[in-house]
Amino acid sequence: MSLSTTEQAACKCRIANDFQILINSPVFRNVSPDIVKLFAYFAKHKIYYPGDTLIRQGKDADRAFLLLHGSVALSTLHKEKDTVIQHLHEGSFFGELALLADFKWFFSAKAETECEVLTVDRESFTKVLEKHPEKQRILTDKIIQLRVARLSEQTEYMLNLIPQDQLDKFNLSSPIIA
Amino acid sequence: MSFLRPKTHIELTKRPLFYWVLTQYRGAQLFLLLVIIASLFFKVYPLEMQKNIINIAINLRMIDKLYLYCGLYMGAVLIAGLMKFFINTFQASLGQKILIGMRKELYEHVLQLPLQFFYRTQSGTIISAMTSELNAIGTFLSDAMAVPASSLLTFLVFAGFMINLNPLLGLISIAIYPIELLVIPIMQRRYNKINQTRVTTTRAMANIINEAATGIQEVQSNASNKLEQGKLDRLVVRLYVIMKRLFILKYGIKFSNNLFQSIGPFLLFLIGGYMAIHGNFTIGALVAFLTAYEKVYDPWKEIIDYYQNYQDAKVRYSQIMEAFDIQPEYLLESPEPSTLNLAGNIRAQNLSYAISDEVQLLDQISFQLDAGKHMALVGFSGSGKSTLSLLIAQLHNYTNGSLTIDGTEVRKLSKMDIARNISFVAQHPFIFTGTVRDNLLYSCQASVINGNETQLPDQSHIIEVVKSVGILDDVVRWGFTSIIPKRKATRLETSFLKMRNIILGELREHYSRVVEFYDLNKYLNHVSLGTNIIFGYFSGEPGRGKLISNTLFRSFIGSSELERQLIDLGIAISSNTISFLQDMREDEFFFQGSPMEPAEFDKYQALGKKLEKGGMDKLRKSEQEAYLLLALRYIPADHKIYTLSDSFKEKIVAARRQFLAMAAPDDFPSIKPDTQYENLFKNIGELNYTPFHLDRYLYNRSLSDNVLFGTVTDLENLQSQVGPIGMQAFDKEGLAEEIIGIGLDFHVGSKGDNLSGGQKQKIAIARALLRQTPILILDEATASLDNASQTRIQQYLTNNLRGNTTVVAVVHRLDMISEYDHIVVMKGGKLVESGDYDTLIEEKGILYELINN
Ligand SMILES: Nc1ncnc2c1ncn2[C@@H]1O[C@H](COP(=O)(O)OP(=O)(O)OP(=O)(O)O)[C@@H](O)[C@H]1O
Ligand SMILES: [Mg+2]
Repeated sequence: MSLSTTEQAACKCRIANDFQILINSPVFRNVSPDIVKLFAYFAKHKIYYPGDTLIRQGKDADRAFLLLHGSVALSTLHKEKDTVIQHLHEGSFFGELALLADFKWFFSAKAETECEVLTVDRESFTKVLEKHPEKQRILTDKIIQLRVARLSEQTEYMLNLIPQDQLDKFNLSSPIIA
Repeated sequence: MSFLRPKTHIELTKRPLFYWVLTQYRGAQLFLLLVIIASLFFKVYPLEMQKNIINIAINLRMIDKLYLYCGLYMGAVLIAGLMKFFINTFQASLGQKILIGMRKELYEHVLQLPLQFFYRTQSGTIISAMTSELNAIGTFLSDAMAVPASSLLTFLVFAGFMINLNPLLGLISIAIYPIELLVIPIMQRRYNKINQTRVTTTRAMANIINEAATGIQEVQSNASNKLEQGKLDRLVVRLYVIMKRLFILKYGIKFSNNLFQSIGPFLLFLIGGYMAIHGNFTIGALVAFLTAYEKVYDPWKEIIDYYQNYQDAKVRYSQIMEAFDIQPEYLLESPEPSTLNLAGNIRAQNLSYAISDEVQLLDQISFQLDAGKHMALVGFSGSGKSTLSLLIAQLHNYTNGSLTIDGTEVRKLSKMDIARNISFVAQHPFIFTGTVRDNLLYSCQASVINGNETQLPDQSHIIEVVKSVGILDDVVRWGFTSIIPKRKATRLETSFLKMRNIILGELREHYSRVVEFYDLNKYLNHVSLGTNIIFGYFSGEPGRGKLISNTLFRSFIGSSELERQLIDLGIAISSNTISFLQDMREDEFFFQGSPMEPAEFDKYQALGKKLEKGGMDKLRKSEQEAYLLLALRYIPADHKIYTLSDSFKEKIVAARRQFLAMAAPDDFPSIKPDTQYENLFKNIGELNYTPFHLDRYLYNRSLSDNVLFGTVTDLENLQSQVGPIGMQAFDKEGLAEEIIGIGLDFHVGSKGDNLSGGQKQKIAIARALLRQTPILILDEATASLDNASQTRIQQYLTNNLRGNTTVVAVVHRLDMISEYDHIVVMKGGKLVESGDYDTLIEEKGILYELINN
């Protein structure tokens, strides 16, 4: 890995491009360039068209997505209906838990506009961390923090949809629950 | 089988070995015997000539007589040899013919044996008995009649000849033989005993190997190699000890035989020499005598060998017959030719099934099921549901009570009648080696061969059933992924090209998202750079690195500046890879983004150093080729390690056009060729080259590659979203059937190992449905399917078969049993509850509890 950052910028190669994208994204901010470079090497570009499915609920979760441009709707099956729980835009990172563990997607993601994403799969993620075990901790922390942030955004979004008078029923100090 | 034929036949497993020899091909055997007798004359005649040559021709110095006798001698020897040749081949083929009959009847017998026999007997034993053990008997059978006859006669004739020459000497030299007749059988008896253990040991070995091969998943997942090896090793050692003993005895017999033989000449020289010296015996006669003595020895040896082979075959034969010495429980066909067509009223009255006095599997079961009604069998695991369904399908023989269909005891029906009226899907269905179609039509094929049906179901019927069991999507996928044999592809080519047109035409927009089309004027990011140049393939390609050794391609590259540019590209890719993957070189995973393979890393690193020191000129031709190879393998979409500039891509596309203009001028007449390559392509003869041309079917590519005419870039979306759109369009044009037809020819692998558990069950159900019998028995036939497929099949049963097919189904998903007319709940081999769904639920009995806990 003797390619210095300046060299990469000079050669218009894809690893360098993706390196720039990744190192500026919240997950990899402050992660050492050596590691980000490896992720850039493994990352894959993909284009989705409006209506295309990026994630299908119930399928094996094996990769995380970084939305480069466009917007994506996350939804989950509720009473046999697909219900939108969040809209994501440029720069969002989602599906991140798939990097840490093997599970089935518990939500779906559909492209709302034409989207470009960069994906990293769990296998590559694990392989890279095998090379740099000392970084495992930081990355895991970051991923979980990101997930927590997105979760609270989601909750916020859902709660905002509930009319105020309904919402009062959920109020802890309200007599109904107490 | 014997019991179908007149009773004069002896029961198959009770027949002695010689029964087969004595009852078949009698005429041929008699003919053989006559030839043998005739040949004897030509064997003795040379001896007479020998005597004449010495006594008359040489003694009396008569040259013309010498010529005459020598000529006659040679002629007789020649004729005897030819006759021997004829006898040998004739008797060998006779033996094999007898073996054919034997094997056929035995197999017919084995296939009819009750299931219990197969539960008891391991398949290795059956295989070993039917193949290698019978083969060994076959060799004996060819000798069975002719050898003893010919050897004995030869022996007698030569003995007679000797006695005729000199009674005293003749009798003395023959007197030795009877002594041997006493000694050898004693040793042989011992041999036979050991031989029996050899047969059992070989069978045990066959069983162990067969079991390990069948259970290979279990073996490899447990890494129980040593355990299995150990099982075999013990037997291998035992077999070694047995074989050693057998050989000692066998060669012991030979040794004693030889010993006796050498006494003969000793006596002859002693007595004969004495007599000759005293003038009582001519030298010619003594020579003839000695020759005769030697000749006597040959048939004797043959008789001894024959005796040993016979004993060996007898041992094997009796062990084979012992293994199969059971009688089938049912007639295969009823004696009077009737076609029994049942309506399907099933009635069980105190039906019981016991394996022995202690083991009672089913106890006093009674129920009644009218034709066209559906019955569900439910209950705990091991409660006897499968056993009951096997009884109804006549696969077990009930021991007590009565089980009737349309009033006839099931026991009284022949196998043919059962097969004509009942389809059975087993809990673990068996899939035969062959295609999906073979397996779907298995029952129908049998029915046609048995004369119950005149023809197989047509394609549209097959497709309909394939659809209703929910395996259509799989069949379509198999169709698309298969590489169709050229002969068949040629026939369907126009249909496939039509599909390609649909995709490249009306559906282009959809498909261009998931496929990179073979576009003549675009650089293809999803295929290798080499393929980008030739835009097609040479037959035999695509193997990595093959292209570079193609002479034509190599000289095409060599005759332009492209070569140097490609080598430079290879060098750049190599140096990028080496610097980037230096620390990751031992992990193959990291090489996915480079055309270099992990094993080549060191080679390219060394080359790089050499290049750094001495420059290009220092590199040998083969070393430059190594870089060229790297460049040709480079696939932009996969190999992130390097990025091609647009201008380089344009150069490649230009080179491609040149290549096409030369290699496939008829396909691309509009491209103007450059003169610089012209000589290259002259007089090259057969190219074996196929370009990616819109009107060309690509024979060594999959159907999918052909129809899509490009490389799939997004398989998931192709399968889930775009594919169905295409199928719809194909269906509208009537093309879908061709693909399904191809998919049905998918090879399921040994025992269906290429299929998933669910696919196997679906195929087994479809196989039963295709027969359209009045009775259908399903033993948890949908157990390994997902919920949606289970529901779909249940729906089909309810909607299409209710009222016209009697169904007995072992059901494990209790939410489905409300679809059945009658429910039987079993426990411990007994029927504990039965009735219709609503009644049973209302009664809040065992079924209610089963559902609600
Ligand atoms: N050949 C046999 N010899 C002895 N016992 C047998 C034999 N075949 C079956 N059994 C026994 O008979 C009982 C009933 O078996 P059966 O296969 O009919 O059960 P089942 O109700 O179909 O169970 P499951 O739901 O697990 O398929 C079991 O206890 C089994 O061990
Ligand atoms: Mg069962």
